[in-house]
Amino acid sequence: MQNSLLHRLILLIALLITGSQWTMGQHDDDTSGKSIEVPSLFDSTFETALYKGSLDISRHHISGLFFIKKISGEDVRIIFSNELGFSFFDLEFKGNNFIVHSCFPSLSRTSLLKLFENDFRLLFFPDTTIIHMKRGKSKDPELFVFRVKSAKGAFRYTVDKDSGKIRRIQTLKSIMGKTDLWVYGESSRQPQKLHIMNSAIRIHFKMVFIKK
Amino acid sequence: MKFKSGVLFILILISTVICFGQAGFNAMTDAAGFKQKFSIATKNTTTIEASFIQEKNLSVLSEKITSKGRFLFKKENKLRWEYTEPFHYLIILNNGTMLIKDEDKQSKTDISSNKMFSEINAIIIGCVQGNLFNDIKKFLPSFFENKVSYLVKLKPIQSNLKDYLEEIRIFFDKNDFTVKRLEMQEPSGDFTNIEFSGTKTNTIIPDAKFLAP
Repeated sequence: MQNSLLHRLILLIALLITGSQWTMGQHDDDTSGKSIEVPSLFDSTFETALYKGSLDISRHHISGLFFIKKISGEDVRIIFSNELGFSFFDLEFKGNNFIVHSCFPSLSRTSLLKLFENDFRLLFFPDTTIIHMKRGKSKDPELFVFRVKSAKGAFRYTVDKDSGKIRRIQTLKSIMGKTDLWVYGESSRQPQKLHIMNSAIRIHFKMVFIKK
Repeated sequence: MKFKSGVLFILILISTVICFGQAGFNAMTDAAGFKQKFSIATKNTTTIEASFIQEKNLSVLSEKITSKGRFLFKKENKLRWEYTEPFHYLIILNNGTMLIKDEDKQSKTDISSNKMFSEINAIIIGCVQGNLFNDIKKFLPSFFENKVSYLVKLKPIQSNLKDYLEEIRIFFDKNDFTVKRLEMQEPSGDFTNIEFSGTKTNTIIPDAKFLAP
């Protein structure tokens, strides 16, 4: 019994040690004190995009179309409507402001909209407040993994080695629930496929690019 | 110079009057008569099939989202709404059950369990059957006409409907009372316009069209 407990404890310590070990090889693996620029998921030439997609909240499933438009400068508007045309929400990111132009009553809850805001900010706006970034171990030889600390929290970025494009962003610490954002497909202008998960109340946004 | 601008003004005035005369709608003089004729026409209609072009107009963004598809209806309440562009999406309403086929995924919903689906289902079936404007608990109807079309505007009365629907405008062909166009206005100012074409009534549509593919 004591042996079994001891084994488990050793295993746990070993896991913690290996999990927190970072591969430090290249001189730019640790970026302390350097200015860091994170690539944007949407190219600077991006204007509009139509995605087919769905939103799952707990056991509810809503499908429809996501229309994304860059309004001016960095401002972005996202509209989600069902196939018949009724809007579920119409949200705008204007500078630091988050404007809810319209929202279907059952989705119009402050806490839920806050989660949407956080998740979409992660998607549309690269973090410009990064304090520290460290390269970690990746199971996939094709990918880099970075552990990032910024004014917004702690994140893990998974980046394609060849293209330098972000494949995944995970929030590591957040009171708003952990977001896991997956990016699929090659395109210079906008992601081809997106999956945003939020653990707080099991939100899943799934989006597949249709057209500009 | 004065003469030229005067002529130009008259020409603009005439063309404006002509345009408004063609497209403008006046209050219907005999709404009761319209309802009666419409009721007879829908009673005699057992099936409807048509193609449609749907445009969601995003007023603030001056953008349109266009989709196309095929529409089938069979009395009493079987409806097949199939989008073919820019994506494949199929909605089948069959006696209280809604089947959705989204690419490879297929799901079945009991319409009554979902308020919004239930309302949308009632609106679509009501528009096709033409009895939507008889639902005085849900909508306040107003009746208009021009030379070629009847227009029925429906304002939602219930607050849950008002939340996502400002007004429904249904345009009927004056000859056969089929729905030519459907406009759904949202409180945000956005609206969806569904234009039907190649409408055929009373053709034979097999029941299998309203079952899971």
